[in-house]
Amino acid sequence: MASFFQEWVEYRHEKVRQWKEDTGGKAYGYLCCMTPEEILYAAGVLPAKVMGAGEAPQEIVDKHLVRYACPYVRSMLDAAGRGEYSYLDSVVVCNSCDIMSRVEYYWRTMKPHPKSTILGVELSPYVLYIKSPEKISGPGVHEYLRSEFRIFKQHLERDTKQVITDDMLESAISVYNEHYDLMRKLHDLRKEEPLKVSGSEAFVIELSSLLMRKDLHNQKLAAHLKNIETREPLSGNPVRLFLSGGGVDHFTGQIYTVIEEAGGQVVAEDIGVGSSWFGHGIDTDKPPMDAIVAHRLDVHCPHTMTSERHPRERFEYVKSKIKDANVKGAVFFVPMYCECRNLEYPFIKEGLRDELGIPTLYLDSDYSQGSLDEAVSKIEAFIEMLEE
Amino acid sequence: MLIVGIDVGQHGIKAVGVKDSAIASQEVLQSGSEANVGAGEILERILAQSPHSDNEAVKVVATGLGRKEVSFADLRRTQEHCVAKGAHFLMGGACTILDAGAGGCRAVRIGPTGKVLEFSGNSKCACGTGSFFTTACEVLQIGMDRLDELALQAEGLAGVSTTCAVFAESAIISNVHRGFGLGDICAGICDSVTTRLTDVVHRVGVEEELFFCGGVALMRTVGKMLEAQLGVKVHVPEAPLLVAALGAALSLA
Repeated sequence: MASFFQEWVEYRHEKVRQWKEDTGGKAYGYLCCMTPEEILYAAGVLPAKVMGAGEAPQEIVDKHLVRYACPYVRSMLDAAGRGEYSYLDSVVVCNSCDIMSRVEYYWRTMKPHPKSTILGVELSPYVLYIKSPEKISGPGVHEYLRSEFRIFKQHLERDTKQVITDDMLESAISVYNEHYDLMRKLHDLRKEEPLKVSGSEAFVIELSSLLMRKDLHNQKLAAHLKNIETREPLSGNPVRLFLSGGGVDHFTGQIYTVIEEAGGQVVAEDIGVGSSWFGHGIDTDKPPMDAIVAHRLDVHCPHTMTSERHPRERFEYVKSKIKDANVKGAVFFVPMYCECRNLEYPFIKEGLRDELGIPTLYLDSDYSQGSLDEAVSKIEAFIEMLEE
Repeated sequence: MLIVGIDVGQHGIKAVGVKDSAIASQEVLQSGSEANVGAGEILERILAQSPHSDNEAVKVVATGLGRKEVSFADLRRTQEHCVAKGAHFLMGGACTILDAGAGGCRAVRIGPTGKVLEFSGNSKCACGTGSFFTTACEVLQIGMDRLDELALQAEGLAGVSTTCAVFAESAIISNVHRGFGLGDICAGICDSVTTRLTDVVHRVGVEEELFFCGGVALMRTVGKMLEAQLGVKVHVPEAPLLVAALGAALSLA
């Protein structure tokens, strides 16, 4: 069963292409957790997460983006420029950080993709941009994001030639709430001792959920959770760790295996992939668009901030992620030049050390095999330190 | 029981034999292409030097960059763990350790019992490592001892502004062309390495005394500059190259 999720991650391009061929549906790529996937799902579209290209040589991005930009975004853009994502019918970009907000321009420039026009105006642009608010609480914020999502929905309606009704949205919300419930169950299993689910297995399950239609993922995950209940616990006595970082995809996700081979297990994380938002469901008592907006405004991303002092709010979120997980240490695996993660790191590190007695290990990643190789020795030393 | 700690580094293989919690023998070899062969050779030398009976148990603990290559090791420990063990054995008490070798540098803060509390190291960069000195010596066509001696005697300092070892090579050549004295150029090279090392130390913090080991600790100028830049006393052990190997052996003692 685990191989089903692994296959979707490993052969993600082929799988999405195959889905399009089988269903005749459209696939939209998206880059960030602020994307209202539920609206895409309601329209019958497959939301597929855009990721980096691993060790593939970067051929195009240098012409457009400086070398001291986020290596993860650089890799994604180069893949786009080389046509690796040519099967996508559209791409959704959010301003999840300064460099990400420019991806809208770079993608359009590097891989022009003209769409139908009326009087020279595109009915729906190939690259859709959602400008999410940096401050996610306070007056006017909800109305502002609802307006952004409404425009996004209109583009989607024009592209898919249909009206997305409240009933369609409610149905999508129901599927997504089931997904969040299942992911929460998986996450809760990782708090148990001894462990039955490794961090790398949970990560692959999570990553695969960002590539396939959620109804299929729900069906497979529900069955998989039943299998997990009857399996034997993992052998050994791994050191329980919290993982924090950005740009974690199929390639940099190897950090889970590196940790496991060194004698550790990631039992909780804040890595800006799926775990950023499966902690809470979508309110079904609200009108669907309002519920989706409220849900997205509750995403705990290092880029956004509440009316509270920013790092404190983020630290409280980290605390909630590691609650009851019996974490012995925290590994920060941060892309080079990532301002969002690096700016909050000193505050969170101090909080973990002073309030919870949890030591941290900081590793930077230039999105290369070299970074992963270099991490091996440092993680081994960190685990040795925690075991002493 | 004789316990042999073997530290397989980028430029050298170091070994220390420990018996009854005391150093019985020590040896240093140049690293060859086959870490396992070099480690085997150094083990034989240690066994020949160490008084032990034929039926006495011998255990091997490997550390360093090439620790995983030592096929006959009974245990493998990271460099951070081993320098902490070695430094605590030699110094006692809580301290900060700076270990700068050919391929990397690390700062390790230990508590009163020798437990590692925090550590930090360089990333994929030769600055602050012995490799930086090797490059500089090739450019200036002098040996490491001579570079250290000239730097110690220098009155001025020809700065190497770049923090990249590759670009530093051209910065050194540029300093030669600009007519700086050889001593000042050597002092500039030591200063560049020291600055990088202090960055690593600052990440874990240092209070009164810094224990400085690894091949770079053989450079007296760097030790002096560290004292000046960090404002703390720098303690260099008698055999700074062997601290990790000693610590490896003590891991089982």
